[in-house]
Amino acid sequence: MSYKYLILLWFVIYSAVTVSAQNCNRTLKGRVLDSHDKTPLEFVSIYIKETATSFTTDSVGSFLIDQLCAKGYHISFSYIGYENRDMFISTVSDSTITVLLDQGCHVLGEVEVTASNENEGLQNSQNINAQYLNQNSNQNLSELLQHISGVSSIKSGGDIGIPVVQGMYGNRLMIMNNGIAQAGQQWGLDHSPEIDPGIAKYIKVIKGVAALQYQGSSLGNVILIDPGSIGIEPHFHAKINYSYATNGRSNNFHTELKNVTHGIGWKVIATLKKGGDKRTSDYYLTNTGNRMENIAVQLEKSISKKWKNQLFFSTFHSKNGILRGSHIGNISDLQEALHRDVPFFTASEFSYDIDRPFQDVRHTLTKVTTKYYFTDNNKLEFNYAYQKNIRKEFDIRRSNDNTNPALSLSLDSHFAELQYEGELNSKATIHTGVQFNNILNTNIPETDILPLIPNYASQQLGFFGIYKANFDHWNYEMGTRLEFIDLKVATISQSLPRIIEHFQNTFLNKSLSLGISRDVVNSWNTTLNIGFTQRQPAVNELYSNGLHQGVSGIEIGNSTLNPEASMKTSLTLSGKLIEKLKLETTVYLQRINNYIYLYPDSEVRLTIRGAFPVFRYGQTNASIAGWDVDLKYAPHYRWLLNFQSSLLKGKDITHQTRLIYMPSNNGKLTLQHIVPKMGKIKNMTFQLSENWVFRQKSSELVQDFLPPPSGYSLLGASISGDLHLKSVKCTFYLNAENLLNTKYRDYLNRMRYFADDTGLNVVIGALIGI
Amino acid sequence: MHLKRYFCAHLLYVSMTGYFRLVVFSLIFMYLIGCEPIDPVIPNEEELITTLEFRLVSSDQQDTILFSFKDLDGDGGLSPVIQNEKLKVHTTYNGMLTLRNDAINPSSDISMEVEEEGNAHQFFYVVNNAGISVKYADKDANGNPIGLKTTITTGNQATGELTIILRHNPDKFGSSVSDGLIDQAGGETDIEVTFQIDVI
Repeated sequence: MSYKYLILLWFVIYSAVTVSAQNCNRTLKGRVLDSHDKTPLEFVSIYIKETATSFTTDSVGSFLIDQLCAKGYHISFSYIGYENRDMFISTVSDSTITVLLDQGCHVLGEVEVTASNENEGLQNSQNINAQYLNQNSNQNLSELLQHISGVSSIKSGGDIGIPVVQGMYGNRLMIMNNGIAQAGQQWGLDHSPEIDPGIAKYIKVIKGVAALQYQGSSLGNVILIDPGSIGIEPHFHAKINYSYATNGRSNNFHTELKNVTHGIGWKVIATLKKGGDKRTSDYYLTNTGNRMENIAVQLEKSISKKWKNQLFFSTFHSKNGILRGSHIGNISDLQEALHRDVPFFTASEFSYDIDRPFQDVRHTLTKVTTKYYFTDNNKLEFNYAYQKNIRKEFDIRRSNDNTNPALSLSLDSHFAELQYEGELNSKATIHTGVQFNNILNTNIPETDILPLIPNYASQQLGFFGIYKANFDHWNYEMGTRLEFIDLKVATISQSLPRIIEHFQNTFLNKSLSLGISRDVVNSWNTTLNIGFTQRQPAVNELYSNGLHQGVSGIEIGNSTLNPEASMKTSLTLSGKLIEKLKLETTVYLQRINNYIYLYPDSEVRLTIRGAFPVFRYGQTNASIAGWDVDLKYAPHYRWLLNFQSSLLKGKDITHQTRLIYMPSNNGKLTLQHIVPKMGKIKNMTFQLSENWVFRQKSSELVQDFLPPPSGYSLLGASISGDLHLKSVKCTFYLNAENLLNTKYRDYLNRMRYFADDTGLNVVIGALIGI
Repeated sequence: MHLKRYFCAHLLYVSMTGYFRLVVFSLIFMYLIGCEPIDPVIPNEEELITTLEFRLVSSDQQDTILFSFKDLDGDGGLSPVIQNEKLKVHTTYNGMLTLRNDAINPSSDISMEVEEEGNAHQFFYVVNNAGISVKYADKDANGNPIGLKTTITTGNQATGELTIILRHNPDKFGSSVSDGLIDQAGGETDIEVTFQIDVI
């Protein structure tokens, strides 16, 4: 930290403390309500940073604060089971406010966020709030998302994981990074999304039936990572978060600085992570270390009251080691590795070193947004985004001198969209837009290996329109989307002599969705959604050709595949079962025709490394049915009991078999106790949780090497608290995962073929905010 | 440059026209970006092993027998060409393995490379029913066998198989690994080729 920066920090703290007192006879009145059913909340802690004083709400959720000076105050509201809310409130005159606190099932962040945030309409969505993000800064994106019921993660050991939402992942799940579809190499099961979750103000998962306003190839579900708006509050705020995790001995550092100066809002975010070999209950997972660096800059400028602009830039780099003992040369190596208790090459000592095999990934995103408001409720929005993704995967090469990557891809994506959102009349709104995307993917010729994925150029032109209306207590939503895709491929022939071959595919995806919801009546809310969506085959499904090291098989694409067609129905119910017992539950049924999957061919290919099984891309009809439950019981304002569960069954209807890599049924019980004040510590929170994962029903062993592992349960605990020192707020946290050091293997962890899952992990960290 | 200046000037121009011009220019810019894929570079597959030759010369130098496995397109769909010859009963042969990459021109001898990195490689000879014994006749810098050179002794008339396996980064000090037992070797398989053996 530079000298200048320290002076700046000191100046800011000093000026915040020495505000002169004048005209201090203002009062602030207000009520705190549940954002969902508007019931008043009693015993909500209210803390004023400038005066370092605390208040609580009364039995009707009201509060009164007097002797305030004629300026502005930073006030935070916190309540068990709800997301903390920090507000900057002007007290130039006496004022009355209503504060809505959110339980995380529906998004209602800060006022300006809600205003600018795309509303998800009637689609069911759940989010991870800033508090959870801050106190789990050691986790990667897919680990964080597992906190939401119905979301799992396919892991590839170490720090590599991709999220699975209601059974959809990879090419079928879209990840929106700051409103832009993440353009990377999503086809790989071992390709983590190239996103630092630290940039997010919140992360939202839309468990929908059709994602109409988003460009990309989703079959309903979307993950939104949103850095939020900077707002207009003209104060310098800084946040520094550091945590240390014992498993992998990882150091995680995150900082965020923001202010509004000369009418320009700016925010700088930086994240650094370094971890070494993780450990199971018995041994080190050699070569599972990770590195991650990310820097993001956000600028906001309003040119007039009607014209608002935002610039966002982020650059991401990660290096992830892959378990050394999971690297295999042929099918007999695999058979040998499958039958070992401890993998080959397991070192007896911990190490931070990352050797081959490892992945090295870079991703940059540059985004420009400009919005023009005709009126408060009618706006035109234009977005342009450029993404560059460079992925290099380093394998063990035949020659130890060969330091070249085995896979080296560079991807460029240009995206532009124009959207209009406005009122038709007082009861109906329309949201429509046109989107264009150009992707160029190129193999960098440094591998000395025939590429698995060809070079390609893809252009997509999309149009969508969504109509919403509400009458009495009923809300209606109708929408459609059309997307035209032109894919041009240049590939190297498999036959000899090698020549360059060119192919072209065009697709037209059509989507439709319909939603009906009934507003809170007797504190119950019901939503029914039906959606039809299509997804064009991805380039790997069409044209991959070659040995896929990870699956120890030869993968052959099929250029005649048709788009997948999904029909999904989802019913969500939320409300109070009895006083203090809240339920939110979703049942869904998705039928996918032309479901694209890999099937084992009868051909076995003989090579100089022995015989390899051949897998080809084919299509079948599939169905996925599931049930997500979230139950919260708050018998007292200091106690909260939360039960979450998700059940899912994925079937191949044509062949009457199970779909592979579907999440196991699972449940989680969490008990939380909060002490609003314990000496100088505020909001002292104790939490205990038990997580059950049941054994997955076996998919056929021709598609999988081993039957699914047994079920397991893990115990976790955490403690956190806030300490206010003048205008500095310090939050400390201690989380323990797998407290009993249970030995287990998870069905969705692809390292389960070779090694146990990770053992006890204790994370200790502190967050300092001014 | 003109376009850029125009673009920036209009960013500051506060009006609806300015806004629309910004949008239109960005869309034109998008279309100007290329939409054809770049032709890939056909790689020089330096690491490919296309050809394995196992040459046996009887100890009296009278007989030369050749086993070979040749697969020019690597993992591609073309089937490999396999050649077998018959061995004589109760005879001792000196075995010599050669690995080549014949897919590049000129072809390269990979056995040299294996010998140079001898500490990190070992061949294993797994015999099934053929009644022959294979003994190592070479050593790496640590005194462990590599397996490019071998001594083969045949027994009575028999028919069976011989599998030749090349492991990269095996544990060469593992239990019985230097005697040619593969069980505790580990490492990755670079070659696994099976020949039919007829001893007559």
